[in-house]
Parts: sequence; structure tokens; C-alpha cells
Amino acid sequence: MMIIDLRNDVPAFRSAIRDWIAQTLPRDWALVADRGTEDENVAYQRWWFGELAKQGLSVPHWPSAYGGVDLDISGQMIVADEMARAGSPMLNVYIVTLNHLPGTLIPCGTDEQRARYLPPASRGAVWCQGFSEPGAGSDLASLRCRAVRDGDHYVINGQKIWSSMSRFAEHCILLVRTDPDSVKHAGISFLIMDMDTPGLEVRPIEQIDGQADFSELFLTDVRVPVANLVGAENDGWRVAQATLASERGVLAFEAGERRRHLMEDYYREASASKAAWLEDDELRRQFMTVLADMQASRRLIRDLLHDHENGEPHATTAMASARIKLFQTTLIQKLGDLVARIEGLEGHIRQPFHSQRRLVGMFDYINSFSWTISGGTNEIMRNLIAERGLGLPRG
Amino acid sequence: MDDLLAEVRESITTVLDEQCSSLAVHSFIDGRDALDTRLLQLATELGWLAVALPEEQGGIGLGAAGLAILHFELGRAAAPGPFLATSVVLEVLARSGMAGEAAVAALIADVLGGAATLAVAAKVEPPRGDAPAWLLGEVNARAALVAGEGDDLVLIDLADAAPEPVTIWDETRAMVSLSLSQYKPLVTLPGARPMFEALFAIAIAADSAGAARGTLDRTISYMKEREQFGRPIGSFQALKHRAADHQVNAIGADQLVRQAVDHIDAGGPGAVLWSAMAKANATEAAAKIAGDCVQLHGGVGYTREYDPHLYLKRVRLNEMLLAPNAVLRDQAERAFGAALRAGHDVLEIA
Repeated sequence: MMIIDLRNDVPAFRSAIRDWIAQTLPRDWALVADRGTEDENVAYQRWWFGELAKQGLSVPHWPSAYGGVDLDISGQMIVADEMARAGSPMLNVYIVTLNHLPGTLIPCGTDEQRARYLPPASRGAVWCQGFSEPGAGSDLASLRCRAVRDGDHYVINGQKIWSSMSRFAEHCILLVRTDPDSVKHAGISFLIMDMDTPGLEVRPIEQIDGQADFSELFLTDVRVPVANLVGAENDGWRVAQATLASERGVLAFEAGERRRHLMEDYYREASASKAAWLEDDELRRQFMTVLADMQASRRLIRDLLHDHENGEPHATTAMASARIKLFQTTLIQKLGDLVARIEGLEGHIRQPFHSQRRLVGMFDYINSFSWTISGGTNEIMRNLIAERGLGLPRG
Repeated sequence: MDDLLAEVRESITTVLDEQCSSLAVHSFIDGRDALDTRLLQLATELGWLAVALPEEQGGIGLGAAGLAILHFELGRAAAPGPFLATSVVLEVLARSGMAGEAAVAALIADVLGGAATLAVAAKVEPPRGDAPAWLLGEVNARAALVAGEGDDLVLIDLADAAPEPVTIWDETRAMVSLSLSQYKPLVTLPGARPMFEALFAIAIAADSAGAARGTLDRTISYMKEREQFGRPIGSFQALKHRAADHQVNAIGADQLVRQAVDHIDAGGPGAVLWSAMAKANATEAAAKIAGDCVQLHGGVGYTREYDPHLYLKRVRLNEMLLAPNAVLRDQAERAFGAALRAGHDVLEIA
């Protein structure tokens, strides 16, 4: 009997998850995961993913044919809520594996591709994404990484950037240009590339927060079988739209719930220790302003997920996603900014760790730019909201 | 409940769209049309003022949710009239436990029958020394609710008082001043102040969120029509990005109103926290949006003939009502701390 088997009995499901986390997750896990190197952190995520898999909680939202149980959104919210409540390890290394991969292969892949890649992914194979290029960021369709057909292979030359966690990945979903003569969106193809293919070099990017989640990929005569084409040749842009539309609302929900507990704990500790900032009118009031925005943000995400469940058309929910991205990431930045101010000069003494379990001013603030820039910059979100949401004319 | 709320909202918007257009509001502020009286009459007939009132007191029984819907829509239309004071005071009287008192019952009946309107202290803290109190409401309001000792409120009789009208920037609402020597207490509502503050806060927040929506909608329409350099100004990224930010912040304000509604109607320890924060954040968000909507209109935004100034003045007044936002945030912070210490989860969302 796995915990997932209790999913139809909501109170039992919830309390089983809660009890199981309390029994399974060492109390000091965050100290280990946060103080350790990135490699150690990823090792921790792999261990946690394995434990979740034993209870059917790693890919519950996937179709049953590939290891899931088609868990509906409210069921996913229960799992996410309990993970956030317990402050369990975040599965950053699996984001593409859990969301973008099934979001692409289920609608656009072949039976063979689904059978070959999804079951191992459900057991923890790490995937990464090779979409952006140095010259193709917000303007993704201008990508130039070139794939030339040579018998039953493509030979690929070019460069990719902002590939999250690719140092740890076994496979990559890759966008390449197969027809350089056609206009932008046409002429792009979608491939699956093994990360151990000769000619591929992965170079981590040193980030402003001290970590290196992102890497650059350098491809020199990398040979990828034509069988790894997802969708038709030159139809990769359409496939990429499916990837980017893959449902990530529950991820945003979990992030929002985690933030709620972090803010609550932060205030609780400040209050217990009679922290000086609580006597500072400006900081104390600003904290309340951000707390209220945080609450508004959580409500926005819930509305989005309920609309999904009620089958609102994708165009509506896509617009809500853009609004939430803008609102939530702006909030994350405001919170980081505030906590950095609260910590004052002491916040500038660089600690040898960051934390998933508590707010750390300067780290959170500097790291907040990854939220406002990645996943479509907030400027691109504003264009979407203004043009598709408000109907303002394109520039 | 949700269906009933949607129905009420639709009936209010239908009437306001028809009766309270931009043109009608301009006729009103120019003194050519008694739109406020007409709206009040319609509101009486349709039971808007009683939207929150319990059914046994002649209301629709929608509580804070009803109050929020009514004021969001009135704010969206920049509707003139004594709705804010009248509906909030009515609801406070109904919830105070004093509604059975003959004088209060008669007053409620008169208000519901359209024979009287009510006023409310614009700022809950009483004036210092001999300074007169400012009341939000019409010069002929029948009674006003003001702060009493401690957490008590006092309903004062204005039937024979002579409040002085004051000219305010917001032309869609009325304010009067009244010297303390004219206070004639009608009835004391013991311990009603926290409940009053929560209801007044939610009504102000909803009016502000609605006004932000109203001015933003009109500004976006304008940005699609107005052309410069051969193209609609809404196509310029520097402007459309501001519109997008306002859109998101207006929706955020709306969510805070709902957050407060949930807690006020549940009557839990989150009522003070969330009503205070809804008023503080929503009025400031609305002031930012309404100010930039004047700017986004360019030259015509500076004319009396266009709408943005109506909303801007209205939401700026809203921000100053009840209590300074700094005070409300401090209240909210104390309520948050107390709730956490008592083990109440005021952040959980149903």
C-alpha cells in the first residue's frame, strides 16, 4: 500500500503524507542540504525523489500508463501543500523532468518516445532544456543553433544558454534550426539529445547569487538520431509551445505556500526574540504590506488552479499565468529587498550557505532576479498582459 | 451564495451602466443633474443599502461580501451619493445588538424606506480639543456614527443639528463638519468599534479597488483610440507596460478585498488584520493607478471634462478615511502577532 492509494479519501491522504514526511525526512536535512555543495544538494534531491517514488508521490499527476495516477489538481495541491508545510527539499533538479517533458511528449511525441523516456523519467532521470541562445533570449524564435541532416542523424553545431541544472541531466530537449532559409518560426525542429553525446560541452555559468544552476551548452558536430525528432521536421516551434504551456501552476502554488511559511516563521522568530526591526515603523509596516501582497498572490494562484479544474480555456489561464508571474516575482523581489534591509549591515556578511528553510536577506534579494528574469522576463509578461490581455495594439 | 452574489453584482452593474455613465457623472458634478438623488432612490427600491443587512432586518443577508460588491461597483462607476456612510452605518447598527432599540429600529426603517441617509466620522479618532468633527455624508443626514469611550461607538442625532457643508476635492461624495457642542447622542453601541472599523475598511477598500478598475478600463480604451506619431499610444511599450502593471496590481487589490471579506464574515481573529490591510494596500494601489491614469491620458487628463480626475480625487479621499494607513498597518501587525501567539492560523485560505 502506497500513500497515493489513499488519494480518494482527502483527510486520510493528507494526514498520511504529513506523518510519512515526519517519519522519513531527517529533522536536520536543511542544514545538510543548504550548507553543502550544489552536488550534495542534488544528491539530497535524488534521495528524496526516490523516497517519494516509493509512495507514488513523485509523478502522481502523470497518466497511469507512465507511472502516475492522473492525480487531479486538487490532489496535487494537497501534496504540494504538505510538502510546503513540512519544508521538504525542493526538487529543482526535476522541474523539466516532471513538467516540460510529459507536457511535450504526451501530446507531441511518438509512442516509442513516450515508452522509452517517460518511465525512466518517472524514476528520476534528470532532463534539461536547451532553448535559449546568447542571441535568442526573449526573442526565442531567432535561434540559430544549426542541425544538418546526415543520413539517419542530425549534425548539430551551435550554442545554448540558461540551461537549468544541465550539469546533472541525462537528456536534453533541444530546439535547433533545420531550415535556415525559411522565416523565423518555421524551420525550427525539436530534438531529444543525450547529454553524454560526443561534441557536447557543458560549462556552468557563475551566477550573481554565488550558485551555478544554469549552464551554457557548446555543441560541436553533435550527432543526434533522426528518431529523436519530436513532431515533424521544421515543426519544432509548435512543439515548443506545448512545452512552454505545460502546466506549472502547482509549482507556483507550492512556491507561494513555502513563502507563506517562511514569512510566518520569520515574523514569529522576530517577535519571540524582540527583534529591533519590529520597533522600526517603516520596516514593520513594510513587512505587513508585503505580507498582504503575499496573501493576494496566493489567492491569485488558487483562482488560476480552480479555473484549470473547471476547464477554462487555455488562453484565459495562460493570461492568468502571466499576471501571476508578474505579481509573484515582483513580490519575491520586494520581500528579498525588505529582509535585506532588515538584516542591515550584518546581512552583508556572506554566509557559506543559502537556505530553503528560512529567509536570508541578501541571498534572497540577489536571487530574486532569477525570478524576474527567467521563465520569460517580466517585460515579456507585461507585453503579453497588455497585448493579449488588455488588447493594446502591438508596437 | 456565490450565485446570489453574482446575481446581485449583475443587477448593480446593469443599473449603474445605464444610469451612471461618465456623461451622467459629469452632469452631476456640473450641477445639471441630481444623479445622487436618483441613484439613492434606485438603490432604495432595489435594496442595495440593505445588501449586507441580515434578512430579519429587511436585508439581503450577504454580509461583508455584499458590502464589498456594492462598493466595488459604485467605485467603478465613480457613483455620487451617500452610499459609503449609509450602508456601513446601517450594517453596524444591525450587527451591534442595538437594532431592537426603538430609536434605532425606526432609523433603520427610515433609511431602508428612503426617508433618511446616514453619516459617519470620516476619521475614527475623535478630533482634538474643540476642533469640529468631519463627517462623511450629506448635509441633511439624519444621524451619524462617531467614536465614543474606548471601543464604544455613539450614534448622534443630526435631525436638529446644523452641520456645515465643506467643499472637498472629491466631487462625487459629500462631507460636513459638526462641532462637538452639537453632539446629541441617540444611542451608544458598546464595544462596536472593531466591527465598525472592519466594515468601514472593507467598504473603502472595495470602493478603491472598483475605482482603480474603472479608471484603468477607461484609460486602456483611451490608449487604443488616441493616436500620436501615426499610431495608437497604447502601442508604445513605455505606456503599455505601465498599463500591465496597473492591471496586475488592481487584481491584487481585489484579492485583498476578498481576503478581508472571508475573515469578516467568518468572524475570526483575522478580521482586524485583513480588513486593515485591505484598506491600507488597496487604497494605496488605487491611488497609484488613478494617478498614473491621469498621466497616461496626457493633456486631456488634466481637463475637468475627462474622467481620470474624478477617480483620482475619490481614491485619494478614500486613502485618508477611517485612519492613516500607517496606523492600520500597526493595528494589523498587532493582530497578526496576537493571532500567532494564540495559535490561530490567519494565513490559511479555505
